Amino acid sequence: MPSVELKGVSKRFREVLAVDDLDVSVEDEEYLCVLGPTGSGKSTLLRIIAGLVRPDSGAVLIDGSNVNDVPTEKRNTALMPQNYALFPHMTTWDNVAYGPKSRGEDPKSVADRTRELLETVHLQDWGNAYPNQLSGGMQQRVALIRALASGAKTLLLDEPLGALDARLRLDLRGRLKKFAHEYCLTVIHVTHDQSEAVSLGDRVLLLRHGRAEQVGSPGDMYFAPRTVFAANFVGERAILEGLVRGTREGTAELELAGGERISARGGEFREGELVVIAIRCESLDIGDSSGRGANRLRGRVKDVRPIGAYFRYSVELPGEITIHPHVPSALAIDSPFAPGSEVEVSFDEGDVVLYAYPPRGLAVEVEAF
Amino acid sequence: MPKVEITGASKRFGDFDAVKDVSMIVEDGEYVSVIGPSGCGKTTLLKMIAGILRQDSGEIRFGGIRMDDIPIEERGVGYVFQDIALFPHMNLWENISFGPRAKGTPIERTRLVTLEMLEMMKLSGRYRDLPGNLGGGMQQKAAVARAIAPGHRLMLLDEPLSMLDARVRSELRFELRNIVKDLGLTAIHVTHDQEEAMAISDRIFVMRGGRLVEHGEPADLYFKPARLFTAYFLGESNIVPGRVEKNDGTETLLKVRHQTISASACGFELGSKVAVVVRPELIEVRASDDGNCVKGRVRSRTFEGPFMRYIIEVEDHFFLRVKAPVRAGVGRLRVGEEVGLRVRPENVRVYDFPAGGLNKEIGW
Repeated sequence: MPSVELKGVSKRFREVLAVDDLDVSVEDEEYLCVLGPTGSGKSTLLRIIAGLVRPDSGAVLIDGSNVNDVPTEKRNTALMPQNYALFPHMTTWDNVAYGPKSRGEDPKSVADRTRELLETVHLQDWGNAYPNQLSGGMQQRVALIRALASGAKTLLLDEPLGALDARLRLDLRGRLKKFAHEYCLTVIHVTHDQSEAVSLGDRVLLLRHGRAEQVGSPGDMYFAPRTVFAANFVGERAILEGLVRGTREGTAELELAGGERISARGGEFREGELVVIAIRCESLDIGDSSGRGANRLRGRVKDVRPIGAYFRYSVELPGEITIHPHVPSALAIDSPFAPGSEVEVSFDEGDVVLYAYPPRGLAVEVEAF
Repeated sequence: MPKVEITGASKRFGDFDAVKDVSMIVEDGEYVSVIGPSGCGKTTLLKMIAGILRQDSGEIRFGGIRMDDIPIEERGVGYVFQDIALFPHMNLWENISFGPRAKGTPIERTRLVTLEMLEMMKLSGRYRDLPGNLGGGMQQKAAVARAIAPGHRLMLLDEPLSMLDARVRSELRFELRNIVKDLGLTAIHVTHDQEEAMAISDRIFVMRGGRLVEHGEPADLYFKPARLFTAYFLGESNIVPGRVEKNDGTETLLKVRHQTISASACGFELGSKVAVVVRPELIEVRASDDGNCVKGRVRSRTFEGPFMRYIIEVEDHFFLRVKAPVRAGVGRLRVGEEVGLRVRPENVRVYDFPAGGLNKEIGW
């Protein structure tokens, strides 16, 4: 039986349909990441499950029972909201210990648990501080462990790591997942960070305008996005327009804006059809002329930026197309291709994903701003 | 004009040294960023450059001219904040043209500048929109346009992207850099996001506890940091204690636990206690054992999209983090599997072991 289930849930705020006829099913002890841009309905979804927002239509089920009329405190869920909502008059320690204490747990075990949780988020020295004495990132960590300590079976986390610096965020990702597993929790974790979603989630739900754009395993989401919007939002990709020039045995021959031809798997498209081409930036290799990929395009390096684990190249192709190969640092560190160099960008047929041209145009689908 | 020179600047709040004896030069046309953990003094430094705060000692010069007694509105700087500071009741056109109008710029000139800004930010179609009708990324671009429109040549940016969605942020940083470069502006950008600093700047200044730790070009700072703190703070690192076992001028051998690791020649004496640093993405993992490498067992793996992250246990309680491109075929190592690890000697960095211990130097 699913732990949390939404059936045809909708919620409208004035003229905005925040959640639109959404069906979601979260298994017991599953870690579901909900991903989507600002305004896609992520927070509303959490608040509906928590019982803070009543849906206009549809049903919310927890452990199989309809909870539409069950108040927040009786749903056995703990919501960590984006603004933390810590008790301002309580110390860090008391905020964290509040839930277990009010359930009448043994003081010794409450103290042990609180201490352990504070250590988990590196706040063991801040137990006596009040929320207004903590930085935003510290408050966020307190809110997170308060939710963990609450004893609720289902955690609803709204951007729980958003205010932390990269280093701490990465550290806490691992700890959060481990903790959820150890305590057999069901977690619904809202984020706008696709890397957080694919690394933490057992499954990822991608929302757009209050609807499920795609639900699937992190691998499916990352390697096989089903729509142009999903392809653009999950992972970094070159997204180009192409004209189908011919198809043969499941392979399509495509012409790019500058006249070059590439081939891709996709026999379902017809000659003369305009399609959208998506290629993950890390599957674009750059080299002189010894590229291994089946597809090779000549271009000129405009810029190279080190990003850390990879270098981001900007390569201009004919037809005023710029693509951005991501080359692992281990390879790029002594690459000879400086800005101005002529290079060959190569990639395999299997790395190219094709989509039917969206009816409202490409710009609407890849509009990230 | 906007070469920025800061000499021995300090600022104290009560008995807290927010900025301590910082000297830096930012060349005309350069895009630099200042990074460091929260409370390191980076925002205070930016505010002193802007003239929002007055330094207790030291000098700040723009193009050789002392700015110390010149108020913010006469320093010719555009300031962009983390919170998007557009006038909510004005449309984009009115917001962007606000500065030139307030300065009494002739109408025709104001019109041209505003048009140019809108075009550059790819916002031409939205000039009649109120800020509230636009996404966060567009609003922040408009805020940048408004800061530049009065003709300011020096941009000061305080966490300008940190309120935005990850997706928008990663696109906007390149756009921001291109705009600053195309207009030939000078920019000083404060951020806590190490990746953003790498992507956007010509040089990075690392701060800690009010002081400048070091500065350099992104790739140099990332791959060859001079200071252990930089190796820790900029990007991700494996940092482990070790001892110099051999150093004959051509090769250095380091003992880390029971393992022997080869590093490029370095100046450490035989027997010195050192901190050994290796980037997770510069460790090569091989599924099979082909000798001459450190062996370990996969303890966990996490899919991160382009990379697979592994925790490898080399010995009891000695773990290394490894990031391997998913494409390279090593993306499918299983938990429990035995693997060989290899690092090129030049990718092993060696530092003095910090006097207060590793945790004090690189603790939270």
